[in-house]
Amino acid sequence: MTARMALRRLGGGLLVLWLVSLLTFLMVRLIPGDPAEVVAGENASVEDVNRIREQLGLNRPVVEQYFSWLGGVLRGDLGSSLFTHRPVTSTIVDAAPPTLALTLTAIVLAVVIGVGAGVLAGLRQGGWLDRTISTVATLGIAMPSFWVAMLLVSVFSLSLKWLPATTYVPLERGFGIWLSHIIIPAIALGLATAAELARHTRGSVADVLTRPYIRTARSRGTGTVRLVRRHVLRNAAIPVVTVLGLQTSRLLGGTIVVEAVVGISGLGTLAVNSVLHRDYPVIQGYVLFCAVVVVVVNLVVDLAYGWINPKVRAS
Amino acid sequence: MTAMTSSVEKNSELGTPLLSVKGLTIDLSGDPGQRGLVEDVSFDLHQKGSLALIGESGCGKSLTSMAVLGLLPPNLPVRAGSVEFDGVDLLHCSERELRRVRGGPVGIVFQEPMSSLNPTMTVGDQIAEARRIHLGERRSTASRRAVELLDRVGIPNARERIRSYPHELSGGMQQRVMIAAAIACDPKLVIADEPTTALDVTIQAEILALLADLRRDLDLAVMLVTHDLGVVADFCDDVVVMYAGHVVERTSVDGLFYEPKHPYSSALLGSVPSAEEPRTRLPVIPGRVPPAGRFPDGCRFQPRCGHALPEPCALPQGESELDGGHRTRCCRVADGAVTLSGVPRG
Amino acid sequence: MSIETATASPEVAVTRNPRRGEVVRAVMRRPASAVSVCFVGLLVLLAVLGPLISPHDPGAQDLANPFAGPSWTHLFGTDDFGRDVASRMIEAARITILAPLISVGIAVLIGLPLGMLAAISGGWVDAIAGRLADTVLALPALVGALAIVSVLGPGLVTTMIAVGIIFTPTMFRVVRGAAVSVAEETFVRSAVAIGSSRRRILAVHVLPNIAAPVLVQVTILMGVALLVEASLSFLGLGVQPPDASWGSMLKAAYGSQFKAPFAVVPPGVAMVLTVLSFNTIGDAIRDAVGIRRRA
Repeated sequence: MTARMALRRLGGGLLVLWLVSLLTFLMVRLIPGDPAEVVAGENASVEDVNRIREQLGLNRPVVEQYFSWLGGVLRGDLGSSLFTHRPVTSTIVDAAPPTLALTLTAIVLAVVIGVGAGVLAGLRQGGWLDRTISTVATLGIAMPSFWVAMLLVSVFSLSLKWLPATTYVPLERGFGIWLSHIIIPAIALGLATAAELARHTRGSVADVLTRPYIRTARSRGTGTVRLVRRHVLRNAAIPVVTVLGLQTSRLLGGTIVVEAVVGISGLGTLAVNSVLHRDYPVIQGYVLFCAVVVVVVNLVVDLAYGWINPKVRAS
Repeated sequence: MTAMTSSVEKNSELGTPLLSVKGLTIDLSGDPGQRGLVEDVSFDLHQKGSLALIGESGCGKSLTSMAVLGLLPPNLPVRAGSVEFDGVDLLHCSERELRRVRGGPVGIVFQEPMSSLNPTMTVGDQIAEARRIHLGERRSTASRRAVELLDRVGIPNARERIRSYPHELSGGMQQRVMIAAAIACDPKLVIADEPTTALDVTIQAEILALLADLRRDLDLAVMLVTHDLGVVADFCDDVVVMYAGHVVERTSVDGLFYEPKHPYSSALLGSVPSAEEPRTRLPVIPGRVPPAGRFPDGCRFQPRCGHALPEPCALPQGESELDGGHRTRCCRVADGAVTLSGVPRG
Repeated sequence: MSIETATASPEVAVTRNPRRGEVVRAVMRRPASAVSVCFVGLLVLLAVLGPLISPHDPGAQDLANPFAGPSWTHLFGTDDFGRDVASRMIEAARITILAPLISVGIAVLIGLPLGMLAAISGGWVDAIAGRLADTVLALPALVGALAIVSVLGPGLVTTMIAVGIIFTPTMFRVVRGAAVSVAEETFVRSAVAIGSSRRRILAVHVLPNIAAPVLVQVTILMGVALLVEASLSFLGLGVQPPDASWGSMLKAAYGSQFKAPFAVVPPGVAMVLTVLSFNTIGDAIRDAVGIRRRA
């Protein structure tokens, strides 16, 4: 991918982010009725309502307020929570680590299990292993992550008592204990992704094996292991990278419910609470954050795709 | 131009053949399938010899060459026969033995270089791969050798080129890369499956010249699979003519061109347009190659043969040996009942 | 040859889509998709006939008998208020089928015409619509739904609208993509060449030929819509009590996992089976029409 292409993609991403910021900003103004009254609640006094109106900037003209808000965003100031009065930015930053740990663990698990299973299934196409893996993958895609989490908690925590049921423990407290707390939600979150990866990898591997250059490699005496490593994987990885990119969005959304099930105080729980309490500055900040993550990941995936596939690299 | 030495005479001169295929029979499984898609194929190739496997599309010549190295897909099982290479029967040895032979003592060049080269590996890595597998060379050593090989096959700027990817090279260059990879481990035999079919005519000549060069310099035996009579005439010493899965004739090149001993060979030669007779209709062999699954019993060329008689030709035809080691699968020619004409001498 | 046939529009022969019946037959021929169709049919039946075939009144509480295990009177036991789980499942089925239907319906209603328009107009109309679509697509589905729910307030109706809005860009992209590839086919170009109006081309040529990929996308979206609604209801932002959807039933079951571990199973299984059915039907249609799987 040339620098020019990369710049164009970057420009496109920035444009999208700007549009997202616009929509997010308008969110509050789109609330039916008087937003300030809605937020303040039924029992609020007139002073409360006015205070909230000012906090939300509803007393100023739209355009002026937008630019002032945008200015703040670009400086890293997303406003303050209506309830805790702490800056939104630091609220998000504080809530991020558990979610990050959860998501990354889920991705690692999904890639290792999903791609591994997919490669095995693709190599032994039509065999019992392939059929089993394909069936499990089809099921996995249909299972809601929060239900999987509930089942796992029910079985492994409540019944068998092998693993703890709730909360998050930071890595500093030790790898073992961190893992024991994060493994159930990570599996629940990553299962559907693993299933998608397995399906795509399987198809990709099966397709690559039919290509003439595989026959060429075998004609040079390449054994199966080397064949897979050097010839199959690299070519089969191309769609996998794309799938991972698409799945990031789903994973991010999934953290919302999975955190609720296992009681992790991460970004997901923050989002839910802020919606329940109508804490709009936090909601806006969270939405922006998600958009940034998705856009950045898509850009990275595009670049990675260009790197893996030399044909794209050259064009 | 070589003299018409028979295979028998060659045997006594040169000892046992490097490659000896006997009774190779391949089935096509599935529905409808074909028993004996390739049937009872036998031929020999001596050290430093050059053999052409010639026939129309679908005659089984590619399948035969793939079968030598055990590269056929599962729906094309080898039912019978042996492939002796350097004392080992490649059809009945272990997978490990087979892998030792592939890419080492036997190199293979495929038809379409673009799709036969891994698009995500550099050209240098692909050439070096065989050396790393068979000779256990380190990456740096193998790379250096790859540069030498690229140079040897006539690719300019070899040192930079080893880092190129296949799609960055033209068709002719890609084929040179394939050849470089095939000779990477100093093989004794190179199998070339229609190496020039997918290339421009001008490039074809270059590639063939390269193969001839290499054959001379490296004392290679070459088995060339082709459908082009012109290529056979320029390049090969011996010919095996195939039709619908059978070897119908085997002899030297001169023997084929001047004294063909099978109606199909004769018809093939007759169908080559001649510049000396302008404005005549292009001679064509009437009829079509039978589709797999519907091969006739007995002689498979019979439906299209101008010399066929129902009685003898409907029986399964065996190979008869004629003068000078010339072999044919036509009973009527073998009996002397039919005489065929070849290319006029001079 | 009569005057009528002599002047009949040449387009008629081209646009007759013989594949529709074939596709249905191909889908029903496979055991997996046939079962899925029957299952979805069963759900629709339950949804329609619900009150008539419910063993108990789904709202009837029996506080003396909470969390009973499965038995002959209560096939799936009772919930925290002593209500019959089976009956509540049946009532929840109505919502769980209805909500995705409406959401996806909204997405199709808006996305289909916009997509076709963008495909055939090209230029800045296409570019702007594309950017807008990208904007919504930049957000995860649940996050976007959350945002909309936060604006409109919780509830089933908001959930359905929210999901519909979130899915519109996906539908738009699929329709646009399919329409663009159809528009490049020669029969469309010949229709343009003989002077067909744009609307006619869209309705008569483009629409029938994009029906299959659109339908496949609909089945996928139905499954996702179901999961999003269930997620929102699980979080308390969707269906409000005493109404039931499978998602909200999971919420109740989750709260009482210690007392009734089994309660988690039925709604979840029902959801999985339904999503599975949608996916299977979608796959069958895709295979029947020969659409290659996009990576």
